[in-house]
Amino acid sequence: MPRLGVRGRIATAFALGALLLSAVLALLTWTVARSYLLAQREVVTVEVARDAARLLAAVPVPDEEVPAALAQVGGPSSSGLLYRSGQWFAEGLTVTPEQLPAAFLGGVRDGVRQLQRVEIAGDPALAVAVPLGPGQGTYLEIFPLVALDRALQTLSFILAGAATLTTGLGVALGRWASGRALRPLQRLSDAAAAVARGDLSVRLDGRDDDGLRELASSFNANTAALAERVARDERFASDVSHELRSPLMTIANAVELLCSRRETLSPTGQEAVDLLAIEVRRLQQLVVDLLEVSRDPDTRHLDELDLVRVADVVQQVADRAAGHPVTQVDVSARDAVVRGDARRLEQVVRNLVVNAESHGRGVTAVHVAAPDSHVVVTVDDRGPGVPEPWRDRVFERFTRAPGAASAPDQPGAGLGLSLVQRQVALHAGTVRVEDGPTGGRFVVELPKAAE
Amino acid sequence: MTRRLLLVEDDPRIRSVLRLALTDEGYEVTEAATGSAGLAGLAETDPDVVLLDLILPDIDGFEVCRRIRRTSDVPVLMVTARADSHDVVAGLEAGADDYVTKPVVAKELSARIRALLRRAEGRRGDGERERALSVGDLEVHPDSGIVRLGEATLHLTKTEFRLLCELAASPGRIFSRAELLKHVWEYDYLGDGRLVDVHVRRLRGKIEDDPAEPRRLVTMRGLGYKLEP
Repeated sequence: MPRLGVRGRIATAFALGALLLSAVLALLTWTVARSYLLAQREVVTVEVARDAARLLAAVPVPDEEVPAALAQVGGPSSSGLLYRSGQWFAEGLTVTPEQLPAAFLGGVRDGVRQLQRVEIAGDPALAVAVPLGPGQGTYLEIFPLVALDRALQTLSFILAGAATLTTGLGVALGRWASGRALRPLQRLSDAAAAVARGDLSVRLDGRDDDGLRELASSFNANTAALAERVARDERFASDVSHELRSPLMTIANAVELLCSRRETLSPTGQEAVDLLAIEVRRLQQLVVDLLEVSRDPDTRHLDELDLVRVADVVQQVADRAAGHPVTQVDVSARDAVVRGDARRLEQVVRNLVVNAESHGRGVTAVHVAAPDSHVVVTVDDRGPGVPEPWRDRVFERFTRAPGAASAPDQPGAGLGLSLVQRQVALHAGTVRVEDGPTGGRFVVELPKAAE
Repeated sequence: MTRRLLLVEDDPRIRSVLRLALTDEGYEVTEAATGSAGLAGLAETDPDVVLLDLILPDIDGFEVCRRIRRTSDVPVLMVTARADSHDVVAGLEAGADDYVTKPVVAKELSARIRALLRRAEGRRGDGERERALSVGDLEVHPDSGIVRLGEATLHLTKTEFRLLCELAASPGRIFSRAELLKHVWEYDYLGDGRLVDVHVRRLRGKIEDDPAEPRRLVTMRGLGYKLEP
């Protein structure tokens, strides 16, 4: 059975409480009603029987007139019987002495006043025996209780129905009450979820809720502090890179000067200069990438940008970056255009191909298709692919999924994929990792330009 | 013919290394460490291209550029530390013809400088010379670099002029930013569209009666620009 949440448990508690209460009340009501009605019936029947007996005793009635007399006295729905001198007289054929219990009959013969619940032909009845006087016999009044029974049965159904209804109302009330009581908790939970997703701008308004006020203010303070720290971190990376620009400019140009005079150096000098050149270029690329990935987004709206033919961009870049032809363009995608910056889209393709080359053991194909409202660029590689839990993290800066093949002399500085994600997002597109036919696969989807 | 460069840069090491590297590339380099030294150098040496750093100790690079533009249409290559929208656009609006972002190596600088020089001489990227063009009341003479709007002679920078020539060669034709970047700035696919946008704005300021409601140089949204015939 699934575990109920807090809300479910509150609702269940309400339901059980309502059920218990209504069940107890129903039972109580029914029991009280039954005993009261029964008692009432008994009293009335005894009264009627006594009156009938008195009437019979007042005037001596010969045997042949007894049935008629019985029919006249007694209650309208009951049957009257007379036992006199060993003989039984009945007003009709409705009730016969054989139907009465032996003990009762014994009491009648003994001339004892009796009141007993009996069963006549399977139906409940009340039997009252009133002696008329010495030598005059005993009058019996038999009152059928079927009607009363039916009435009580109806009552029990009604009460059961009421109990069920009350329970149902209890559940509803419970849900509503728990919803209301837990609303502040739900708001907090939603806000926390937003923060976990990366939205640090969310704040709680605790003014209208006493219980929430303190919680809200500490949540807000925490989130604001977190946002501030994240912003500072981002600025730091960007600030550091910015500071590196000038020194790097001098270094890069000096190295180029050395490279152009390589022949004037000794062999050791030449080797040193070669190493220097490679690493300086890598450093340069790293700084440029880091600045790119942390700079403020382009404020131009997407629809102000030019139309770019994606197939052209891919064609221009992919084959050159891979070193051999890898581009495949679907017929559907030949003229497909998106709104964007060709330079940035080129960077996306280049970075994905370079990533496939460095960490995917080589790119096998770059496919461009435009099946519906999007242009889809797929980059397949020969590598081990990216394990499921890393498929989001691999786009973070300087993150490499475990098991990725590596080529140490590739210039990749760990920012290629984060740049890809950033640029694709700026173009209102998405990028994700999948399993490909030959190894790993990166899929970029960009919305087609509205004509 | 040796080209003269004026290098306005406050970082002394960058200045030295660029002087060495650009001299290697065949240029004659004059250094200036401050904005005012730069302006003085402009008057004294009459360079073919000015390399202008934006961060300077006395006057900021934008102001230096504006002052240069008051008296000269010498090609200005802006060297920025930030490729952010604001700096690049501000520099271009102040009158720069193109920009590069630090760190940049001398070879790349040289390529940009050569493109600027070609523009300055009224030559296209492919080296061809053009005939005089006439579009409406605009008269463009590529060989002499003269532009006339009706009776008035306009003063355009080399790049503005080159851009106008390109558009005027096919009036009514829509040129995409990519095309203009390739033919005017000589960028193959890696150009920055803002170069085109700001230069169009600057041109409009000079050839339109109301730059806010352009009639001659028209924007075709998402497609590019055209000069109305």
